[in-house]
Amino acid sequence: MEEQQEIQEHYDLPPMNMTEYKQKRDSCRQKIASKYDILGFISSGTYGRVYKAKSKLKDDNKEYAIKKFKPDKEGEAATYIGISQSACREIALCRELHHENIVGLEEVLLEDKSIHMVFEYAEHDLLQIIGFHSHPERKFMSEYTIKSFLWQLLNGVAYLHANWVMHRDLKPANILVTANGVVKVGDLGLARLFYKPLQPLFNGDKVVVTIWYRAPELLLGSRHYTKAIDIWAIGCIFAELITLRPIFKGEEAKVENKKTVPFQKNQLQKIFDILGNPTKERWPTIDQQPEYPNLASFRQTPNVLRSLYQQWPIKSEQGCNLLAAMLEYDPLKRITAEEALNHPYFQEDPKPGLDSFAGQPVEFPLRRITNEDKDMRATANAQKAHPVPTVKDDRLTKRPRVDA
Amino acid sequence: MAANFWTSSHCTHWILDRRRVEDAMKEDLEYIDIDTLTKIKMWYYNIIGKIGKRLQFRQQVVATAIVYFKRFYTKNSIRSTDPSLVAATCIYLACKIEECPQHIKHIIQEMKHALVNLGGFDYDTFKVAEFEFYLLEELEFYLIVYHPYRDLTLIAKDLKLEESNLQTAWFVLNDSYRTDVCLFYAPHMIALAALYIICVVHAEQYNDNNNNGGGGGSGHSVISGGSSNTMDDSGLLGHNSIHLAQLNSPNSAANKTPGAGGGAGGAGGGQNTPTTSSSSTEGHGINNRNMVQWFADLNVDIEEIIEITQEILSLYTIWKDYEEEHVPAMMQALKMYSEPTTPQSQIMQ
Repeated sequence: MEEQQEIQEHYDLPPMNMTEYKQKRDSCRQKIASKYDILGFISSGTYGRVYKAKSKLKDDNKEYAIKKFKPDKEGEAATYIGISQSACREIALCRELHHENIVGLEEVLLEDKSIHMVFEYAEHDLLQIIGFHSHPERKFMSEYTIKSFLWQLLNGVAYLHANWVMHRDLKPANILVTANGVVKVGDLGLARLFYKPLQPLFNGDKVVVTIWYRAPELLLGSRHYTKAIDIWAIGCIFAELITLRPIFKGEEAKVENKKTVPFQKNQLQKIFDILGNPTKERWPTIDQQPEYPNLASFRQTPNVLRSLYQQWPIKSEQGCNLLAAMLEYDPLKRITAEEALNHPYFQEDPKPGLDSFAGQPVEFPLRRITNEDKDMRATANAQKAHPVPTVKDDRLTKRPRVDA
Repeated sequence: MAANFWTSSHCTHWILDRRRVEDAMKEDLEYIDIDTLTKIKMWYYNIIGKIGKRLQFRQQVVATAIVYFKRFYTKNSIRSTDPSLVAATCIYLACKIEECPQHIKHIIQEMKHALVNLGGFDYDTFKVAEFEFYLLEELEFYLIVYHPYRDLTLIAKDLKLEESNLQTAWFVLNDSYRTDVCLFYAPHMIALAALYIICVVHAEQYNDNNNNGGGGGSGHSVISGGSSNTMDDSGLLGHNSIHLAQLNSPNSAANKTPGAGGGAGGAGGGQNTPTTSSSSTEGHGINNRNMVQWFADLNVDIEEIIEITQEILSLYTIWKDYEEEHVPAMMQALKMYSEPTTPQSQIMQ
């Protein structure tokens, strides 16, 4: 410090403060409450909270989901410690990506020391839809709906992959569906560009993909995984759409310390129980996987995918072929998104459509939103300029489907 | 996007009109002249480069940080902001976007070190993190930046360009970040201009002292004028920069290898790259007639390549009398006086 002062005196530099600059910028920043009515709180996660909102513009009838990233520190006084890597990624990628089957980012707003990403609103997601079909008793989805979901999901992911983006966290909760039955791949917080990465992918994030949807190469510790991990996850989702149960419902081994990634034996066992043990024949480079030595401890099981599939409600053989191609052990042999879109399964009737719900008698519940949250609501109320319409606590009301 | 520059935000939102950049400089130019302003900015680019070198970033990270810095100053004046805070925040954000996150404290520490000669760096974690919001806003949340290095590598492969020439072109690209070409032109055009400089302008200059090349007057005079070593240590992006003496002896610039894909060895060089290794006057080894033809056959706007070339070459003119020690006085001139004064007299006092 002393040294610095000396130099400052030496050059006699004026103090450079940014107060004026900041005031200028702050004064022209639009308040969220002046642009959107917050209709209610949707959900929260490690990243922050999501709210349903409506534009105040008269000619904009669309609804939006505002994802508010947690201020850097929880507690009384929010402060700044820098925007999280995941928020940075999501902003950077969503700003570039424009596709019918990728959730659209309307704008990014800064307020209250937090990032707010304003996305197009999607009434449903696959987790909620699967849940709705499973309770109170299981009623399977129509093949048309499943196939439309799957095709659109692949279509969005093929676009990501063509743009060198890996999603890395595909699971039913992240696959959104609009009220019009259009799939929107969401939550790109783990997504990454993989064109000539400056860092091996492994170095950034030790663990990617929720355990049930995690590809075998990840479970075996592969450091140089590829976009094929997304296809594995889609295979798992496809099976789950058919049966309404996760196909590989393993139990996650807990992380004991941050430096080592635990071996996920139970999850691998669930996979082997259905697909049989992976062999060098099926996966020639399997012996290069870091966890390969651990495979000796597994009992030998046969591949029963096809016989299992025959007990499922979808009878198409091509459907089974596609599923098997997505659940291929060897990432190099696994089908790509682009190839999957051209798979014979999609040429068969029923052909997939743009409205996955078309002609279906099912009435899905609306996304539940609540008033409990104090955060954004409090802000909105404090403004008082535009009263927010009251939203009933329980919006699990059914709504007649309108099919175009 | 990543696969397609033409649909990227870089192409659709951040290839700018010159007027916008000129407008942003107006306030500063009331206090100092344009060359001085260029030198001040150059000083900050050097700081970003030095920190990148110390923290061992890849060139792309430094290049992204510099592009953020430039984009910020297409909307603000240096006078009304603190470029050291802007530079630190640009580095911090670029590291995250280029997937090599650094702790904010590291960057602050490095800034303090780098700014020892210019008033130090008085911002803490909170201030830098707070400023990140303003920076994001100024960047309009468009964060993915394209760089010409990848294009250069691809073209070099296609041309079977000699390794040493590829490296020289790489250094020209490093230098190009000291100009504003990345705000006005698509990366592949900048890559082509770098090739044009080493393969046509330079070669022609070398073979023909009558200066008939496409590089324009200033460029040629600089090339033949050749020397000033003041920049040796502050090469952008952590490399010794190409300067004019090096342009005249290509092998001396080749002391580092460009990172990825430098595989365009001389083996298949054939007609494009006859003998290069000899150090004598025959040396440069680019058959520039072939290169001129190659450029002529390209389906791109050759005028634009020449514009970029001129802009890069004119940088070397300014660079020649850039002295790091003078920068504090320049900053003082820019910051001290609340009333605009005659620029020259104040700086040169």
